[in-house]
Amino acid sequence: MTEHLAAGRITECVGGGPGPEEQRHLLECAECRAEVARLRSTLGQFREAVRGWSDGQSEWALARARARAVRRPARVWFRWPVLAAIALALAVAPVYRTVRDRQQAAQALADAQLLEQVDREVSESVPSPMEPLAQLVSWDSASQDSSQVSTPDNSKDGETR
Amino acid sequence: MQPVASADYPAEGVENPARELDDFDALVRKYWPRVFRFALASLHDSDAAGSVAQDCLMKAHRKGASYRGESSVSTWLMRIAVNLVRDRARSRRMQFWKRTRESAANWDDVVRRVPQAGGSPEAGAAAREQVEAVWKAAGRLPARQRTVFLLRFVEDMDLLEIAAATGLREGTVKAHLFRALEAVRRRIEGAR
Repeated sequence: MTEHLAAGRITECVGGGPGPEEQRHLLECAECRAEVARLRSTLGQFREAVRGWSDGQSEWALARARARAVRRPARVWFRWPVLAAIALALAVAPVYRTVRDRQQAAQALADAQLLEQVDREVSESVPSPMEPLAQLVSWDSASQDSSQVSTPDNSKDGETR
Repeated sequence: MQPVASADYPAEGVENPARELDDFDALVRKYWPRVFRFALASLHDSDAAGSVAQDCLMKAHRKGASYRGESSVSTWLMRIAVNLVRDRARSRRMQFWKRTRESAANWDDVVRRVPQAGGSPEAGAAAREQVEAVWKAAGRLPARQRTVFLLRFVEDMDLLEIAAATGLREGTVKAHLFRALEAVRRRIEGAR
């Protein structure tokens, strides 16, 4: 009998299946056959353990995924009113701005008129409530002025005469 | 290329495999356990595995039109799952969870599932130790080797199916599988 299969060839037998030469050897060598069987058995136990472990969590994970999937459309539906409100705000904004601009323009005009009026009033020498008094004062001063003016003229005239 | 039948989910008997993708509920009933299992075995995280399985089936359902029938629906789904698992494992958040949860005893949960062969308690303990060695070795494999290893020894896929699911050539799959199995075998020998 030939010597035992090298470790790498045992691995190949388990991983990809034995080639013709390895198959012949395995038929003759109980020790190598047992080695291959042991590795296969351990990998089989590993598979069963992982599958059992996964099965234990699979249903619960699926239920959670379904719950997530149910919540997702709800969030989409929730989004629609928000999007509609934003669209409405964007549509209304120019109208609102126009109205506001008009109001501001009207207010500015009113302010300007008021200021103009105030300016006019300020530019007058005497406030309107004091106008009668001012007229009196202006009348006195006017008459005084005329007498003062006439006096020198008269004296002048007198002198010249 | 002919559709490749999986051991668990043969393409035979399904008149038009693409139509399977139209019925989302049926798709979930049939393929959820397998996709979830692969994701769980890869990520060791039930929440992440559930998300991957959900995304995978929804993607398949939505993109059913892009299924060309070159492989079985099952293999096509596994291809999507392989990509999703890879993306998930790359994300930083997943790395964080991996670090914090790896130590959390997933293994305890797995080891309880090691089938009792009806032998002595010593034989049962030895079997659990060896399965633990496989689990630990698989967890330390590089990502591609681990994927190929899990597809072969948990999902029972053959080399052609694994090649279709991973997008690797058959020879590359064989090489990854050999290296992975060598690492696992050495670990098992160390546990004896």
